[in-house]
Amino acid sequence: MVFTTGMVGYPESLTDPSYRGQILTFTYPLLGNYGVPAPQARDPWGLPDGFESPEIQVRAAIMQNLEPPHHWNSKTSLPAWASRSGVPLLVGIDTRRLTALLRSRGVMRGILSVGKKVPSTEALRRELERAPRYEEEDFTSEVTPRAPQLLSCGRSGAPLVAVLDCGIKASILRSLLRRQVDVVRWPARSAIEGRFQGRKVSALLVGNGPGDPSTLQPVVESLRESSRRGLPVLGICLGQQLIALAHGGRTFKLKYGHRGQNKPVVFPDGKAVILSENHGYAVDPASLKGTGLEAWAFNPDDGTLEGMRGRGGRVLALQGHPEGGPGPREASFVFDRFVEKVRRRA
Amino acid sequence: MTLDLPKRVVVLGSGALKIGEAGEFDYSGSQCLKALEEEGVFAVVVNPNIATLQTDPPRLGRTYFQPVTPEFVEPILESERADAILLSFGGQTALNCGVALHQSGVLRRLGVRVLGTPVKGIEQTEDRALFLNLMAKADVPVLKSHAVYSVEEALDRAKEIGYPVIVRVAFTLGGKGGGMARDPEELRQVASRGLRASPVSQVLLERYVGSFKQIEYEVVRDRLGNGLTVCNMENVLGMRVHTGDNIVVAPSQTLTDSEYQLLRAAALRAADVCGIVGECNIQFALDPRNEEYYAIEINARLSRSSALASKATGYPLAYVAAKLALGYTLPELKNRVTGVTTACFEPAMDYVVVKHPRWDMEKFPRARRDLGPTMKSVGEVMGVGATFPEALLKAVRMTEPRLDLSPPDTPRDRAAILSDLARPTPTVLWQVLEALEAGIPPSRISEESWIDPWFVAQLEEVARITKELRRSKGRPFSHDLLRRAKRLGLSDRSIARVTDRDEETVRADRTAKGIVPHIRMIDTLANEWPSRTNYLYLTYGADTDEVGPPPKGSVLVLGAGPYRIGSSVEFDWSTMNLVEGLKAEGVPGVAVLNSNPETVSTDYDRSDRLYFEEITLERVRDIYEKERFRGLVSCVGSQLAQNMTPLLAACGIPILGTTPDSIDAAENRSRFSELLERLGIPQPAWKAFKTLEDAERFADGVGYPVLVRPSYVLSGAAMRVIPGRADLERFLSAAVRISPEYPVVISKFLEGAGEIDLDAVSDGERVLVAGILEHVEQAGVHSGDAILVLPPRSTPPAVQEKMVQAAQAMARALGIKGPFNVQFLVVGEEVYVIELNLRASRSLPFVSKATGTPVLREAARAMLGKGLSRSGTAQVPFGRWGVKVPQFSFFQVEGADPLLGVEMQSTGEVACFGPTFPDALVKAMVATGMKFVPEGGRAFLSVGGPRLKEQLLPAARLLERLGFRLMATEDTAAYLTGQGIREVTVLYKIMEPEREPNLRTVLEKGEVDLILNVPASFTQEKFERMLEDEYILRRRAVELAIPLFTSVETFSAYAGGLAWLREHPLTVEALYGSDMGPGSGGALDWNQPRSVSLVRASRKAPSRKRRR
Repeated sequence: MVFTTGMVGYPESLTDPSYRGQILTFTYPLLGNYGVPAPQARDPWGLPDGFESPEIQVRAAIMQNLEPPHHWNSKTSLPAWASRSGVPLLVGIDTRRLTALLRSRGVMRGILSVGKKVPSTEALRRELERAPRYEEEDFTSEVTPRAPQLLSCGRSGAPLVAVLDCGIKASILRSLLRRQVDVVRWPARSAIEGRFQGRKVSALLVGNGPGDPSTLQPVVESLRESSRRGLPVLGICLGQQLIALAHGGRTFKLKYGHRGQNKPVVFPDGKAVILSENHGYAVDPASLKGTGLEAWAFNPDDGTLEGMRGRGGRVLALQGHPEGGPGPREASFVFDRFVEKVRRRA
Repeated sequence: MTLDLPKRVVVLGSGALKIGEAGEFDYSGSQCLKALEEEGVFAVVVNPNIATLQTDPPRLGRTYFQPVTPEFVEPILESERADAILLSFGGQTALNCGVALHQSGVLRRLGVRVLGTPVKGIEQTEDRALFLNLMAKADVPVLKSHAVYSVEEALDRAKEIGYPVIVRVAFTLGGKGGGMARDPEELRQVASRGLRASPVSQVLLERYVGSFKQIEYEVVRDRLGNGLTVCNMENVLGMRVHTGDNIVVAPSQTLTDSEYQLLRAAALRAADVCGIVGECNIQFALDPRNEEYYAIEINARLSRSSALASKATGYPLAYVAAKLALGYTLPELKNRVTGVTTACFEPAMDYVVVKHPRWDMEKFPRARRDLGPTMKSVGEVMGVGATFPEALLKAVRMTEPRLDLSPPDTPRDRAAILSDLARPTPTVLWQVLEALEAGIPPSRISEESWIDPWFVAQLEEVARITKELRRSKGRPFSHDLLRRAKRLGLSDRSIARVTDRDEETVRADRTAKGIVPHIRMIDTLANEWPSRTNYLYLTYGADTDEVGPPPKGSVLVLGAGPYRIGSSVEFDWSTMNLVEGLKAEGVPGVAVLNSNPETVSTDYDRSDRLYFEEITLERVRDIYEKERFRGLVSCVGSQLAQNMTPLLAACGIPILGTTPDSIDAAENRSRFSELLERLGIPQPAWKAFKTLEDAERFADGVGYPVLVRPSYVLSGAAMRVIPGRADLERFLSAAVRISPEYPVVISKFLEGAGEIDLDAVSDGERVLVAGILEHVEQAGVHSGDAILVLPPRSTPPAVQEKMVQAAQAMARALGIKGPFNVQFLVVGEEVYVIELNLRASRSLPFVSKATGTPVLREAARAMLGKGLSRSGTAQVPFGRWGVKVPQFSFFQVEGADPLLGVEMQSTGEVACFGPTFPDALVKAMVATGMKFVPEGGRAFLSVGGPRLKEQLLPAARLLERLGFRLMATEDTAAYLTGQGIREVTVLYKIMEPEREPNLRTVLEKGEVDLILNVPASFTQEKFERMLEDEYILRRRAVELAIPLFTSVETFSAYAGGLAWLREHPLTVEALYGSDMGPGSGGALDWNQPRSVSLVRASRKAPSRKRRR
């Protein structure tokens, strides 16, 4: 069970594959205000429009109040959508109190019983004991494509970027496509090839996704393999952690993670941006020594590593989400820098 | 990083409270001073608003009670050798003054740098053309205005823009003659009317976006360009209604992430191109049907909205803005709530806040009540809750504890409701509920009212639960129903009303069922980090209390709630001074309960605990049952808190200070009268009555005029001077209807009597008189609207002594423990007591500051059972005069009659000091925006009745001597020439347009500089047209900003000021300062006094952007 402090963007959050396997608690007390866009809606590139993936990813959501919806773009309501997706919503909970619990004791396992029968607490506890732990589950297989998938930005002659897809958010893909590059979504466990369908792969983006990075050894391996090609690399969220691991760094689990749209990130020159975040693990900055990577940005509140760079300017990574979805997009300058490098190589 | 800190900073305040510029600037100024003090920067405050906390004796700085205008600020900058100035903490007043000082080169000449947003950036936000360019640079869309000169041109343009369009008339005041047009037919009408009204035959055409959502963002940005939005807010009534008059919710409720980020990013881009360093507010109009949007306005300064955002989130915007102006960057600043995280983050709320305005329309009987682009409200409140209805219903009760937002039992017919919905007034929410009750579909309600369907759906919840409750009449409540009703924010009283129970039964029932609210913290980040915040609210959406009871011996102080006419920032000053007094006396915990986001007392670091809550019996009891505090203080929260005292005491809540019984003895007219009789203190003849016959017999006996009023009076509500028998009969039905449970009182009205306010504090034995304030106006003008002078100008010491003795006698008889205020009438040597208030008064800050007496420190001692540390009568230092002048907001309230009377109408006040009465008076009048024309001009005089005419004579002679051209109505002119005044031009009445020279022509040509109009005090039918004529005159004077007087005494004082200005410059001196020694203000020659001459600078520069 985790919590997010974001005040808008529940359709995006609920479909964010990084939340796969988690029960998401909303600290903002009103949910469902503006309904849900048409779940089948697709943007010009064929990606889910208004969502981060085609389906709800969380196991369940906990909230204080469910509101009657109204919005010009709403086609269904949050409870109808969740119910069609078979995802339970737990309503009427003092989520501030629950947040205090998660914050003080750390992220914990939860179990939700749905149905008319009310099982005993004891029975639920036994059930929970038997259930696999978060670290043990293989979420990556559930969210990564089986075979490479090409997304065209619609312009001929556009450079091609490979995305190591561990459950990437649609907004990250859109951020690239909007900048006039083509994208190939690559299965997380296979190394990127130099060419795809006869076209040169000019760069690599390692995106977000669910799971404990230290248990994603096969992905780290494939990434290490891909890195040998000397491509420009952009890491986002889990991507930053995987890149650190691939270069010999370490990651660790945060007590209760960073989930919200209000997180400060400070760069060495004193510049700061507000960033959307969703992560339960972080890179240990001390472990970067000797990896050829250096710390680039920090969270001033708890000193966690928010960005790294290195390898002659080839690698750039952010722990947060420059694409927003939901949340601010001021850090989207990293996409500009990345795409600039892509063009130079193409 | 090393900062280049300034040494001496001038901080400009906003002057008197007025509609559109109110208490929020005491909050922002006070936070700014705190930030400066922390850095060791010496702050020189310029603000004539005597009732503010920012003008209390500073710990590091000096205080000037002077007008915030360039001619007064320039000598202060010079003599203080200030090296910097802050413009963004004193509203539009400070901003305009600072920009003028920059443009005239004064700042450059004196080497004063502007901290925070550079003046260039400010200018770009203030000038419409520059603003349009700037927004284009930031790629932020704006609405364009098109100037057209004919109806045909207007029709052509409108085709391009698309309907509806709004027509604005160029160069008329208050946008007169403009309007909205939905189609070519309407446009033809509106445009031709507008073109006729415009002196240059020009109207401006703009796309009308009244049905759009109105969304605001509060941005902070540092010198490195790091920017973030602290809060966004949504206006429930959309673009159609000014945000100051709107119901505002934070955060926005109907925006998707995409819309939220679209506007947020635009706000940051806009702040970037303006070069904001500190804070700014940006308003957007967002289409409710797509993502089309426009930036409407940027305020490059702290504002009412930023004060609200600050309270809504707990993020101390003004404090942070001040630090950023000093050169800090956002990541360098700490989040003061958590103490560990930085100020570089965007607050996450886990609750909803709703701001609701407080209007005082009934104080302006002739004013238009519909809400629109001009702000009319005088104050506001903020409800905090776990749901929108909980926050909204709280907010409604906060505006007025008697009020409940609930549907009527029997709605009117649909047509009436629909027509009301299309023209929102202060009761629009009730009309939505009424419409729901009448079965009008929610979608139709939205179409008519332009209120987003989401908000209508929220009100539907309220209507639905009310229906359910009604069905449980005569049956026991189910636990579930009661819990849902409380979660939606219904009060025990409203539940009781719809179910035919009494409030106490409902309370007992729900507490027995365990349905009680719980205490929650406002911590800026939704509990993500542990915090020790003491910023609290109560909600039925929580399962547990987040804080335990306070230390034993703690005290709860009731604040004054929303600012309104008769109760404003002076009570916030009282609340905070008492809190500090209690702390200084060692009270282990002082909590404050208040509901007004524009205050300093709702800054959570000012008290040990802050409850941002409604000041209602129900809520105070909820808190008491949790806290079991030692005592409650109700004598600093104005009449609102005072009126609750007997009810609170009846619930077993211990009251600190004067006993509830003594309060009743002073409030209850017959008990009070008996007391005066027993003490041998004279009072005007009076009688309480219930029937008209008794009343008439009494009035005939004592003789007219008589003063009629109900008991438990708040700022003269429903009080009136009645000139004759016919009027008595007409008036009485209205007065009785207002307050049936209290008898109505009639007293003999003493014409021509002087009026005195005495402020004091007592410990039950000894009395410290803080000041004796003489009114310039005779009895009949409400004390809040009168000019007050310290020391008394014309009250002999023996008479003053009589008053002191009366005060002492009453204090002992009632065992007063705390502050009190007595109002006296003086006729010759005779002194009559007319009122005793056992609470802090409006004039308390003035006397405290003028005489250097910390009255509420003494009050704190008295309340805790310690004796006063001193007694006697405090005096203003010899050779100093203090004058307090009221501020009116008649211009803002379309149609309001600026006629002074026993009903209070002023919205604020200033006080200035000087070595003579006229010196202090003129400065204070200038500080309220009054123009002086010492070089001479044209005065129009019109007074009714022989007594007033006689009284006017000396002032008329003085004006003649000063070379004024006198004009008058026939009667007044005849009298004046009869008394030897040589040239008086007769002007004919507006209602006789065929006769010239006519008043209307003179007004329209601007050929008059002063107007005195005192209507005769009779209202017989045949004079009604004449009275209407005079109303039009007064209204035009207000709209044309011509100095207008409706009292001969005020006018005479003003004339004396004109004469003084001919011979003397005005003094400019600090009243006190941390480097000026104890009793500071005593030393008038502490530095080289500077002076200002108004003879040259009497014509004001054209006014800049109006206050929002």
